[in-house]
Amino acid sequence: MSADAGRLQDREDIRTLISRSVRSLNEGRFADFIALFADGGHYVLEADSAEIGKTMIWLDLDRNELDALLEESPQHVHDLAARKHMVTVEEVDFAVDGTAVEALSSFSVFRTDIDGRTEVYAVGNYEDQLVGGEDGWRIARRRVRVQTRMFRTPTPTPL
Amino acid sequence: MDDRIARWEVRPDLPPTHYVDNRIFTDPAIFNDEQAQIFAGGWKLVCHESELPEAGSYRALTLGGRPILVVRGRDQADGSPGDIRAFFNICPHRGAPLARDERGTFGKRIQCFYHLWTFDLEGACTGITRPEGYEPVGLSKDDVGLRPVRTEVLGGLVFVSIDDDVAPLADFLGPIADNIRLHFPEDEELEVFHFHRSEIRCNWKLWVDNNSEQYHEFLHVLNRKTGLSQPNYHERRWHLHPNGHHAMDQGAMNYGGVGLEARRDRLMPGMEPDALMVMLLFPDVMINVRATVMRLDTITPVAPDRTVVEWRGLGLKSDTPEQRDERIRHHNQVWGPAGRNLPEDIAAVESQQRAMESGAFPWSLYAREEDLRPQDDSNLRSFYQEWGRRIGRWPHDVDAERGDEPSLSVIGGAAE
Repeated sequence: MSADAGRLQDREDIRTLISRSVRSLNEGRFADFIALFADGGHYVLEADSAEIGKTMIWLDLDRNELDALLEESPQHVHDLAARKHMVTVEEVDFAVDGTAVEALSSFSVFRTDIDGRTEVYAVGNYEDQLVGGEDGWRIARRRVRVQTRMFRTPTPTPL
Repeated sequence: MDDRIARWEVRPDLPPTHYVDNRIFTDPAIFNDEQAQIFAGGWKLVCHESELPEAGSYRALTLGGRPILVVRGRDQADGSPGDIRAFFNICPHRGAPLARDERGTFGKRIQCFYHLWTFDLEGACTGITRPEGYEPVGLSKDDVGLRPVRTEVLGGLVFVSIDDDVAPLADFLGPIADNIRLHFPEDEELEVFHFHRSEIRCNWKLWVDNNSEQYHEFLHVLNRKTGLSQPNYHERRWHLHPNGHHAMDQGAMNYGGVGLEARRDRLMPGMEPDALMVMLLFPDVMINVRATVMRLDTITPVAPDRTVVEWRGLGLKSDTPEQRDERIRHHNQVWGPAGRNLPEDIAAVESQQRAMESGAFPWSLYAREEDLRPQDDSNLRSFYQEWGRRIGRWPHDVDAERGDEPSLSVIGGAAE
């Protein structure tokens, strides 16, 4: 495979990885979501507050902490609505040696309540750092920057 | 009638303080009375002083339907921060807002964007555009100015009232002001690092209720594992204060119960290691401290079934970046829009509201008597008695005549 073809394949694999990440969240397959993170991977959820003029960190968890939170999840009383992410990968930038990548995606999340009423739940960006390995690409760090600050129902489940 | 049905049709056989008429959560006329008698007529916490860090810093908000502007004044002669004042966020000329966003910083002057009139940070008019046009009628800048709003600051908490004749804040707070001074001391400045708000589909009192009562800790996984399992959990007591305020003794939590680190360093003022403290300032200020981090909640009732809640997270202004990161982590483990407990609380109160609105659920029970221990309902009974006193109704029967009758004792029909 030529270098260009290899790069195209990497791009496709990265798009697939990002799509899988949101699909696993949509379907509540949290173990599959965690498996997309590299060892030592990190998840950060943040928003800018217009009210206090600061960036707020709402979640900052390494892979193990995220795993523990999601493992605890079935014990919590949940919002009964379904959530569906729509994601568009906008940019994929390779480092010089091709082993690390930064990807920028836009996402929106729709919430469908138990009566079947759908509304926009959140919008924002994923800023992903990805690393390649024998098992393919994995998320080294996902920084979720949400524009939405008033959620219909808050949630400890990652966006 | 079948007894099982009659129990739902007949007023509970309990002291009148021990249940409430659920129409207090749904009736639009009662909601309007609350707006006039409680929210427009009393003190309202609007922000923390750290949100106004320098001369000219402002916050804009709405209180009792009035647009309010809270502004930090010029530095004092000795270099200390200027006084905090509030005004209507309305230009006296034609009514345009002086601040169009929620926060920001004016320069030395506040300038209306519409006709460019200017005011100093104390509210005096300093400039009228082309003033000669008013000379024939004798109007000058000395004749106009910003409309002041009663403002008091205690422990960095900024309270305003749109009732010009409201009693001083100290009178309203009474002895619970000592609790505020303990947790907001003059020699240790606090700082807001987190803010978010949600519109919750419930009556505002249900949110206060949820936040204040400890019986519902059984709802939360985290509380079951870190608090309810603690041997001294039931040894703490509520302290009920005049005017509906209340606070509970601190008690140590076991954060290791859910695999989280202990909270024993860089404690918030007045806190013991790993301890939880809960305080309510009637009607709508809830202060929760979990050893290393504070949560400050305020409420804006929007409709009988709609409530906007604002949450602030606070640490110490003297925090290093590493210490602040740790406080934020501790805050988010429980609170914040991605915290463990908030979604559960919202699920509870919104489902309650639906039951109230259905008309099938006439009375709610507040009948636990545990000698003022955490799961005693006396703090909520105190809240509802003060609510009734303020709006001139009985919480247990909104149709009953009340007149000037005093509130009922809430410690317990059996206990007193």
